[in-house]
Amino acid sequence: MYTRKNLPPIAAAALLAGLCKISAAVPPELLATAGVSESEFFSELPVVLSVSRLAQPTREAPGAVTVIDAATIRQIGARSLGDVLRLVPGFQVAETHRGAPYFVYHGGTSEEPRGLQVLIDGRTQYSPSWFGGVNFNTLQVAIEDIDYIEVLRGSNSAAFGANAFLGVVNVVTKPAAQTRGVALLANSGNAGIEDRYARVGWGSESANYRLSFDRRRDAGLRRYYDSRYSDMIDARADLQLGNRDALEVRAGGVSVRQGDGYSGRDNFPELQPEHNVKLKNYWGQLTWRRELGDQDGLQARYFTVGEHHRDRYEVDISPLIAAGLLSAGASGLIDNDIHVVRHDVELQHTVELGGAMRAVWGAGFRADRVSSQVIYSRADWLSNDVARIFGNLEWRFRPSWVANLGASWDHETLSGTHFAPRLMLNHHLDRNQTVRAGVTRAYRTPSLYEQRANSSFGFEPASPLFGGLSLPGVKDQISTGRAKAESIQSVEVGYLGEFKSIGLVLDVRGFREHVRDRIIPQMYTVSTTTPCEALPDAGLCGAQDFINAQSYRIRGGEYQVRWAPVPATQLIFNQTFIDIESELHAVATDPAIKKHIDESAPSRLESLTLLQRFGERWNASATYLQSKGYKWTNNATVPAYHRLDWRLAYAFKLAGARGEAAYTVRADGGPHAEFRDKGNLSPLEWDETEPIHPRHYFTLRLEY
Amino acid sequence: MFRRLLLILLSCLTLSALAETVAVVNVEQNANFAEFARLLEADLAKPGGGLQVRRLASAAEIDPAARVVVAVGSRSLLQALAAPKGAAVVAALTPSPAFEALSGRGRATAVFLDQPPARQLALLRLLLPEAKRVGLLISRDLQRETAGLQRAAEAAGLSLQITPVDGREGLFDALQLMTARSDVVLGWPDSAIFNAQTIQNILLTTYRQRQPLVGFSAAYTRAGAIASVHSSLPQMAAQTADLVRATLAAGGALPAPQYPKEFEVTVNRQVGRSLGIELPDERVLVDQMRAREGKLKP
Repeated sequence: MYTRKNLPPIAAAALLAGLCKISAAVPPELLATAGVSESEFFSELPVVLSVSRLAQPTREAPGAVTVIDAATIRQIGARSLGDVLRLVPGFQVAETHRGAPYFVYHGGTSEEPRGLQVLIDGRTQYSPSWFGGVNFNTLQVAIEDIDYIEVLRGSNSAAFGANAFLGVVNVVTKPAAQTRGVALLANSGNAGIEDRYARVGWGSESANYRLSFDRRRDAGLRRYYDSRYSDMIDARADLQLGNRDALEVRAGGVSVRQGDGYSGRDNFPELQPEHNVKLKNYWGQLTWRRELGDQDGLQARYFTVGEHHRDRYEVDISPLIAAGLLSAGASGLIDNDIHVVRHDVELQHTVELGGAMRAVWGAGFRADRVSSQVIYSRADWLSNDVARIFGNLEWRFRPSWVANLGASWDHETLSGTHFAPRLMLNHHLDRNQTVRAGVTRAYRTPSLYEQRANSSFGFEPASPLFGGLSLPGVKDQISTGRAKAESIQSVEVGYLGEFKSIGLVLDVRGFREHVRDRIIPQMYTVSTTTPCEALPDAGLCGAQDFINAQSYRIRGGEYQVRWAPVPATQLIFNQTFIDIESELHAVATDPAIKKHIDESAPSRLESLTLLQRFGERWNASATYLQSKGYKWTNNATVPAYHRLDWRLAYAFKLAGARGEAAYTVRADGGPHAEFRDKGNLSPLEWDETEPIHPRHYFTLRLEY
Repeated sequence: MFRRLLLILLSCLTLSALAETVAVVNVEQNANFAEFARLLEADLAKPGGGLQVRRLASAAEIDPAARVVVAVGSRSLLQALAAPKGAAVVAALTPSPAFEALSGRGRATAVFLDQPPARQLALLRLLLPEAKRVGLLISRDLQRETAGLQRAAEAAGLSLQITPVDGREGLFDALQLMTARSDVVLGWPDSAIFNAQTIQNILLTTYRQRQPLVGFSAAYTRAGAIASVHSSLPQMAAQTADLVRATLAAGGALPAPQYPKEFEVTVNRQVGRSLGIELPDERVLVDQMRAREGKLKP
């Protein structure tokens, strides 16, 4: 109903001005304050939600996806990525004496886990340093900067390259425009927990910036010298250049001091005395996005990473000299330095073809350079480059059917060419339910260590020590490069039911994953052709090489139920059933290796998480997890365990700032092991049980 | 015979003197405004209508004999009202708040540029029946303009979450506040808040919260609004022409100002799919909305 109103004074003035000077131009301010102007009805606008910015709805995603947002990460009081991944079905997370928690998906555990591609804003965290996996201690992100974590449960080399062997963990940080102002956070608790985080963000409509500082400190496990000191700086700039172009700039570095080694044991010389390993990791990244039209977009990304692992310490070899095993002039200085440089460039084009098809395709190139005297017995740089072409076609060929066909072809200098295809079919049963089935093949290419390592152990003047005791100058590791890529063929069925009206989501995945050519260490005589097993008397056998000599089948199902009976409550229940059966091939016969993989995943694992808000100020979370026993290493087991993590938080306002005070307890209850407990450890391996004790800490957070 | 000829001549002259003059004032250089003026002129100057139309670039040029002055846009309206003529003023392409602020003393009527509040909300309810809380960003000093919208929201069973914005700097905070308590966002033509520079921030923030935005022009639908309801230039020109004719026929009493009667709906299917919202055909939506409006009229 239209109603007349009195003339506001400003408009009356305008009218008066108009009466006096009819032909005078009307100042725009008068019109603007007169109310709503008509200019906005006719203005040209940029296409903001373009085809490359729009995310696929979960029910059309070609695979099982679990997304955990920043609010949940905060509500559970996570201090590292592993803490968050406990909420994802199929994941096994273990706190160890090596610093940040380890995580794997569907077994295949190891002291250096591989098999999951971890990306931070598109940057792979796979490192060619050391054994070639993800270093959980130097992940290039501060927990507080994470916007959401998207976990793609299932092999996907077709889209994410070799090393997306069993799944992908895709961490996305908050856009700079969302983090304006100042935020401060501090954690303080037992076990030496002292974290500090500070962030400042500023900007305008077209340029936004953020600078974050993150410090993590904790004393690790009780019986070990494994304190972790981590300092990180992370900078981000998001620039909007005109209506069509956007540029993101990122740079940062993290420096970690991680305790390692053991205190002396009885009459054994300290071959790995307590010392600190220093890890440094720097990165720089440029991402440029351009909207080519309504229906297509281009993205170009370049990043570079530099790493330096510094691990130098002195071993007291006087007992060995005294026993006549070493000459008097021998040095006990150990130097395990590693340097890494990586460059990566990728171009990607997203285009909507007609109404029913969307295609993404692109190409990339990565150059890795590694230098380490201790691992490769040479002072120069070794290189491993990868060239990649990939594509995915999403075809909605019927109103309720979506097919995704993807493939990638990559060529690596050291391990050759691999072709990874993927097909997934989604069928919408109705508005709320979708079923899914698909097959894929993926690869894990052998790391530089697995292909080119050349190290020796023994005591020589200025020669590196590599565990164990032997005659001087004997080769310990000679990777001949005969190991080729591991492959996995995966068949899956899935179901997703999203019932908004009752706040229920059910996500089910059934899988049969067949891994072939698993790379395992094999001892040979120094000639590298005669395996030790072949000798009548193995004795003190020689060097270790890597060969493809194991295959295994992973079968099982996992599901998640999320239920929000009322908006203030959310319940998340995960359950995973896994059965793994492996076989050894070729010359490999060590039963410990077979047993390790057979038991690398618990037969059953479940967790229940409650996220509850009480009114406007209080919120709480609790996660109860229980797992059947399994193995992380050849020679030790993790018996069945359960753990409880909980947190209580209170939000308040203080002098213009929004604040939150919280109290978190992790691993509440009696101590338990998550990585290593009982085993048949030889005297050489003094790694014993690694019990986790409860940790509790206070958190204070302020945001302006 | 000569007398008959004189009579015929006199009647012709009188008839031409009796042809009504309508002045269409358009001070804007904008192509859309020019197009509207052209369409309006074509409709009014139809043969047999007995109307003479003059298109002017300034109110100073208005013919004293003009019975009706159509002002295209609020700047034209300001000029036309200031000109001390006796003509009735019909405002076109002017949003209702601007018209209310500028007009007075019963000299003007209008076909508004903006849609009636109930119509935008009706579109919202058709597309998102489960949404209850409607977020609205508005400059603090324009809050009183939302009274009509609030009444329409109450009538529709929706809760309007008005979030005032303090200048450009306050938009970021207001966005965070609004998305925290809304299910869907309503675009409203406050040019301090909704413009080509801010729309990026607004759409990205609401999209991240999986909140659709209902806009007020086809450009907003293209930018990323899930749907918009708006009236096309031909539709508004036809209605304005009818209002001009009604004004002329009414003599002294000016007809009441009106919202656009005919309208179009545009939807963005990509955004709808990404947010998991089913979008019916645009014509079906228009028909459903028309039917609903037809039922409500007494």
